[in-house]
Amino acid sequence: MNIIALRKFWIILSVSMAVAAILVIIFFRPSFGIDFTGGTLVEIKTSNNISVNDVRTKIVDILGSREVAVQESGTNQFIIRTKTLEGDGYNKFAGELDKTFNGVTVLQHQSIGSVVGADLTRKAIYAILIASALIIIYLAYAFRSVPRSVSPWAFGSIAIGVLVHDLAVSFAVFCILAKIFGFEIDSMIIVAILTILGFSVHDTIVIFDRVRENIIKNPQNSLADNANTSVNQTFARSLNTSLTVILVLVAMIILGGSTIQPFVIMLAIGIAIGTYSSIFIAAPTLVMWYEYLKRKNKSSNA
Amino acid sequence: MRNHLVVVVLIILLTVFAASVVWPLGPNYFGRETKIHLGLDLQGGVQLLYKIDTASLGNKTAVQAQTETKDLIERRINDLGVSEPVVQATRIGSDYGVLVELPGIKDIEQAKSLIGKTAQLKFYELSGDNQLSDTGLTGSDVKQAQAGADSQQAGFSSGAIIYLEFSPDGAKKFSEITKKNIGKPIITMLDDQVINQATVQTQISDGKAQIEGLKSVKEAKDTAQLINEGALPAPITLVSENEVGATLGNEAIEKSLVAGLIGLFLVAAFMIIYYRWLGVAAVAALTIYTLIVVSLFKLIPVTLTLSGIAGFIFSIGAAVDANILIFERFKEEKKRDIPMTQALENGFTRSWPSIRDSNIASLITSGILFYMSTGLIKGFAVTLAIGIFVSLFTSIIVTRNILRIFIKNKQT
Repeated sequence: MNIIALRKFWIILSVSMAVAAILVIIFFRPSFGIDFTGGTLVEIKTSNNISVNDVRTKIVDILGSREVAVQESGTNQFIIRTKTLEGDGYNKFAGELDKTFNGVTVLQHQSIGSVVGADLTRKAIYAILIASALIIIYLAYAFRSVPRSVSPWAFGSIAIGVLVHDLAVSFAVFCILAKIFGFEIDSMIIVAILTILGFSVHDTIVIFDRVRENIIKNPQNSLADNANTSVNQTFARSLNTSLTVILVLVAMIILGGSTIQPFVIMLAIGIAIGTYSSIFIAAPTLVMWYEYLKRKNKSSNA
Repeated sequence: MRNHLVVVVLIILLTVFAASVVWPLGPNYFGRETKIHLGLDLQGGVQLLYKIDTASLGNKTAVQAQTETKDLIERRINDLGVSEPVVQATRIGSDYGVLVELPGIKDIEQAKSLIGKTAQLKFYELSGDNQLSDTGLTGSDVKQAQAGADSQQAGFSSGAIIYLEFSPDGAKKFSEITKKNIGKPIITMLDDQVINQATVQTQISDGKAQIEGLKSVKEAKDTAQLINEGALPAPITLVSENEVGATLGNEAIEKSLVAGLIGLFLVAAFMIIYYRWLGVAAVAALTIYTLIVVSLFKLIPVTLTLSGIAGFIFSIGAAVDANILIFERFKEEKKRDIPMTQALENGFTRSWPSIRDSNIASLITSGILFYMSTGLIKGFAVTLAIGIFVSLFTSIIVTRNILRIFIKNKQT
């Protein structure tokens, strides 16, 4: 399979996907969930026996939103967290609750602030930026033995570029699914993004390691040839590793509880995209970068 | 050869130890109960609702006081060693409050006493008519409070002492107060209770003072910590206390757990079908991997939340990946005309750089996330880092030695 020969195609495809993804994120960004915005907490006592899962399902129906957390707080006693409900909105909700569950007593009702503040989000972003910089530095060090014509800095920088693509595209797919199924951005989505970040970099590095080995072992071959050999040699590994993780995630999507579904779906999308990008973006970009440097050197020498 | 045997015996011992920690009815090591600590999202915990006494706020707005209270309570819970609490600002009608949720906590009374203390430290002098009069010096003038024990005093009191060091501004105030009150007492109160009374001998200008009237060294330590972190801007009262279930719903969690296990069995089946006897070795190594990681979660202990489990899933992925990398490399090496044992050793040494570099990148990420963040992101970083360290160990040491034994048996 000659993936590198079609490098222009893969790169144009990936760049357009990334651009489309950013547009999707801008125009279809789901709203933030109660973890971020705060909302209303209502504690009720029902007169009949009912499971926490049924309470949740019925409240999702009443509100027409999945952004509801229900906790047991005693026998037939439940704490419900929803988006902010005030005045008439709250009265209507309380009325609906009473009707749906054949009589409920409201034990307490309060408005609650966010769990995931701006502070946590800001720190997470700084952390990701610093980690990216350190990964670039580490890879430049780990790849210091590659011939000078291929800059060791290329590996880390491309790994981070691929990461940006993976995060943008998987988040965009999540945005579209969120529109269809009514998911919102909750704190778990932040964790899913971090997990995808890890997988993406991990996958890219495995391929680059093979490229490093091949260019040192076969310096007579062109970088394009060496890169292509590497992608093919690691192909089975890339597919098998992703397959095993996706097996677990698909089992959890089909059989797992509904509360963690958005999270698991986001993970599965991210890992599929991470695998695609490590094969079809990372090595092709490396070859393009190298060729660009070569052309530039030639024209400046001439 | 004898070296291999030693390693194999060590692996077996480690596995037995890990399995005994993981086993629900297993022995307790290091003198404490080992169990999996689950977070609020997975198991629930205790919910405490506090109301802020907004009548005694002074010049702060209620919202400012609420934010300060929330931050302070978070820090105090952190000192308790309780991880992954949820602390939220709340409004009940026109009242301001803070909603605190603590996962599986043993000593709820201790938690309540530490969270609920205002920790307002005040210094009083006696006015002309022998009435207490506020000097204006407070806990916020203290730069550093440190608990200690004075052995000389141990005979007639607990001997517990808190050493106070004032800020430059506080030191100036204290110096003036002591100058004015030579031969007279200064009374120190914590939340309107006298904790120290001492007669001033000379003017104290080095900004240092002591508190001696504490019941125990433990109390001195707790109090010193509260003084260091600062007083709540206003007293708070506990309005309600509730045991609460998992936020993700107990049924949803049980279903997801079963689903996850089914997924893992599918992975094991895939590995064995695709890699055959290598796959069997991988499944054995991954079982040992899981036992070690879970026993570490129990021993450290790590409070597991869904985000922690995400980190764990990622590290399982990395562990499986390490095995796959080795096997694919081994298959490639086998195609060349070299002995099986040599192909195996090559498979390991040549796949090592990829395993090392990819895992170091993940460790960099988890290290930075650990140091820079809190709450759920920290939980993710912790399980990820533990998982990756163990995965490096199992893929390199455990898988390798299991395979060496396999190959030896195949050849004879």
